[in-house]
Amino acid sequence: MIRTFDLTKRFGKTMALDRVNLDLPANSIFALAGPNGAGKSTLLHLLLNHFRSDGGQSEIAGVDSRKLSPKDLQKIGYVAESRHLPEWMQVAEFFRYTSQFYPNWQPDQLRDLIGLFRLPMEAKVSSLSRGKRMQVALAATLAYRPQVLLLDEPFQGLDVLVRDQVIESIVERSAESTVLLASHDLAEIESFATHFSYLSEGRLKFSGDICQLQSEFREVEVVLREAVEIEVPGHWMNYSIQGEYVRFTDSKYAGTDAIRERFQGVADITVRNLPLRAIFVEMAREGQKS
Amino acid sequence: MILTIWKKDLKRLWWGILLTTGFLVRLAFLDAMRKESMPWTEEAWLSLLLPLSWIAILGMAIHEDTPGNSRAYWASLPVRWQSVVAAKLLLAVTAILVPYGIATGLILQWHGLDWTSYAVELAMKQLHVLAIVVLPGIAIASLFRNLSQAILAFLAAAVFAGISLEGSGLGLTKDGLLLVASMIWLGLGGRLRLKVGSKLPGGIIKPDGR
Repeated sequence: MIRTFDLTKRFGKTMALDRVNLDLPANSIFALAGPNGAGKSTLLHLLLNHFRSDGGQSEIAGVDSRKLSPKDLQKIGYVAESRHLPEWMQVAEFFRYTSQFYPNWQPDQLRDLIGLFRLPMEAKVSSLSRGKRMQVALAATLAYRPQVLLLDEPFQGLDVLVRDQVIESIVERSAESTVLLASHDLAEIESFATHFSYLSEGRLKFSGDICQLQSEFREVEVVLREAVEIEVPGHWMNYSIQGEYVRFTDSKYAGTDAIRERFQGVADITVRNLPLRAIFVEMAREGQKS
Repeated sequence: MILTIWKKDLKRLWWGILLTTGFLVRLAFLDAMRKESMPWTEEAWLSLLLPLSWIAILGMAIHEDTPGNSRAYWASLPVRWQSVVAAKLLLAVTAILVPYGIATGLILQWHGLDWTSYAVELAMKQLHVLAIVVLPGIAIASLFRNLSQAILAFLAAAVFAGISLEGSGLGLTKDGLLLVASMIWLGLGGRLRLKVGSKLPGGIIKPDGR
């Protein structure tokens, strides 16, 4: 549904995306995380052909992004916090206007979403809170049942209840759509995403399913009998040693025996699972170091 | 899709179109009644106000669906940018050129002349409004994201064109020079913003998409 091959984008001297390769399985909920300026939004814009890439290529809904026609765009939904909605329209009018662009528009589907989100149909878009705007945009997108759904920071500024509603509506429809979601909100992502990738300074640092990620990442604390310098493997992130006490994050954890082999005289090893948020922080720290 | 966007713009800007048509009717009436042009009269003020209000209408229509803005709502709709530009031109025809054409025809009628005998001259007037107001207006509105900035830029362009006219020894006619100035503006707008989507120069939109 979505694939990129060595996708590259520069803005002047800034490398926004550097040879990014992604392959999203159909019907997955794929979370794209990374710090500000990592290139998440740029990737979505390139997929939608808003920008021309400087190298590589991308496909969305089985079509080369550069050749997207209006007919192809009818199968793609895009919701972004930064997107400008027509402020002067009433919500009902906004739905009427948008429906004219999509032959597959489903009024029943919209009715359900209006009920779920409790949207004020007579209110003007300009009078809506940030959360309500996001819900209006999401309802207008889900109403035509897109095959591919691109969401850019959909949870920003939403309260807990609204987030749950938004997540519920995304998950409900994931059986028929492939979702690519760019977000900082790792606690939310963890609860429903099936796949995760991490972008930093335009480079893809990890891409895979969340179970795999969580099985591979461990926080490790080692107590040595005596302090010793060793050659640190590349997959040990944020390695620190203070006397006999060693701490690092193993991004390819393969059991304690593999760790023991690296040191001579291990007194104790403690291994902890990491939640997605902690993995993200470790990756970000490692990125800053490098 | 062109008609959908056009209808949406008409629905939003009907009051502005009504107001400018009111200005136009009044101006046509004053033109038909007077014998000599007088500076700083109601007619002179209306002559200044009318193109500015046209520019304001165009600016509002363009700013909602700016061709080069990837954050604009239309950018994710299944629409080609050419359709958006065509819808805006159609709005300009409906809100500016058609009323202007009718008004100039009426002035001739009120002066006791048959407008059909002046069809070519009337068509040329339409082309002048298109070249001097509509196209530069669209280009300037596309360049500036703020409506007041767009109007000021248009005024600056008009003043620049006026000064060039006064100081030029090029032997160009007033209309010819204004046409050249407006084409420069249009070219500038076309280079910077009207080439949307895949053809958009990277420097206009920041790396974060804004």
